[in-house]
Amino acid sequence: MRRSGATADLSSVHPAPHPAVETAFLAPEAVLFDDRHGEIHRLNPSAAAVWLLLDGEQSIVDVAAELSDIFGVPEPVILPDVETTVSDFRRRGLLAGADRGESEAPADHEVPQRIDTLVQPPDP
Amino acid sequence: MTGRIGPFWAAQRRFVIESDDTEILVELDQRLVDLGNHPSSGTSEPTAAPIVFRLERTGPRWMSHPWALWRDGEPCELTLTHDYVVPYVLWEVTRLVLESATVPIVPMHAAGLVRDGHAIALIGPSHSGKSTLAGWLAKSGWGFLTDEVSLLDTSQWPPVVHPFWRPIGVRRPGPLDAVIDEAGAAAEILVPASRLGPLADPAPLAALVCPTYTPGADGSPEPMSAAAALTSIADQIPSLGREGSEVFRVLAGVVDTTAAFRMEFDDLDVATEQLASLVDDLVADTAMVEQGA
Repeated sequence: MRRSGATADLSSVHPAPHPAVETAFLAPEAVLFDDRHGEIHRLNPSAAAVWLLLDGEQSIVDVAAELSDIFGVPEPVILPDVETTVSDFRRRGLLAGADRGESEAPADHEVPQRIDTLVQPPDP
Repeated sequence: MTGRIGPFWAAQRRFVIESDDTEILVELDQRLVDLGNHPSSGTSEPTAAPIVFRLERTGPRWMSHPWALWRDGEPCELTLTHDYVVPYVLWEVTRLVLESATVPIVPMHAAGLVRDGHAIALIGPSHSGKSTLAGWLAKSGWGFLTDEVSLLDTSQWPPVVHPFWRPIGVRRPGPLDAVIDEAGAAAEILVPASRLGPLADPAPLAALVCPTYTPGADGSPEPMSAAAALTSIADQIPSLGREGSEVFRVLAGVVDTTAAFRMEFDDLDVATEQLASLVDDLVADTAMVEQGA
């Protein structure tokens, strides 16, 4: 099958999780912990499915094809969603080689870096 | 003449408090009385010298901030008001617990209560109502582990919640006023939990509950997905920022194997009944599974 130019580009992108990002797959969702920033990211089932297929070997098109097989959704329908999801991962700095821009910090939660941010001393 | 009270235990850390001021020592001794009990945890009592907190009144009574606190000779805070002294000492004691807890012990910003040998952790940010609910459960006969920092031992399954019997921070006016019956104008007082109910020994964790005081709510526990539970409790784990991925992995294992619930409550008696039913049902379910196995 001939691919369009945009799709051809997606064939050459092989995203992988950043090594500092820990994954807890709690079916059907996933929760990510970014050890660099101490941040938690909760992924819905769709995003979790995409995340689990990112291994640095498969391209975005490959991932869409695999999800198409799994969920029975035509690849042309699922590909834009996969692309958007991967872009979101990249924007959050969750992918290898894609550090987050300073203006973008869309983590769901930031975990406390100091004990007294949580269990606070009483107000004087 | 310098007086000394203690030893007390902040989990496995032993400490004493010294001061030239008898009045403040008497008050601290009353507020921290439950910490004078060694938390039975199967580990041996520490043999190291206790940590020494020293409180000194560094100025006359008319000064606004006459108190200073040292820990093993190092200054903690040198400008404390009289009303702030006891809460601040308790904060430093809590810091001892948080500092010393490392994997497999995970400290959670959570109250811990025990029913029939099974613990629940009430997890939530300050002002979510967990201390009030913890006090109410204690007065209703539940065993008290803590109202603020639950120490989760994840080296066992199910994880075991260890006690930190610090006094309960009771805000006033509030529902526990009538039970405590203590005069004074302070907006928050520290009440030894043993004045409300029994102190509890370590107990296996039966459920994680995220309570929120919500006027008009019926107190029904609503199941949370493991991912939702992990996201919620991660916000309440002081050591996650310090120990990072190691703690995250441990927590993921805990939420994957422990029932978790969200609970909006209003009436404390109703909430107590709901939680009792919840624990009873979970224990019965576990027993059935074990029999089936």
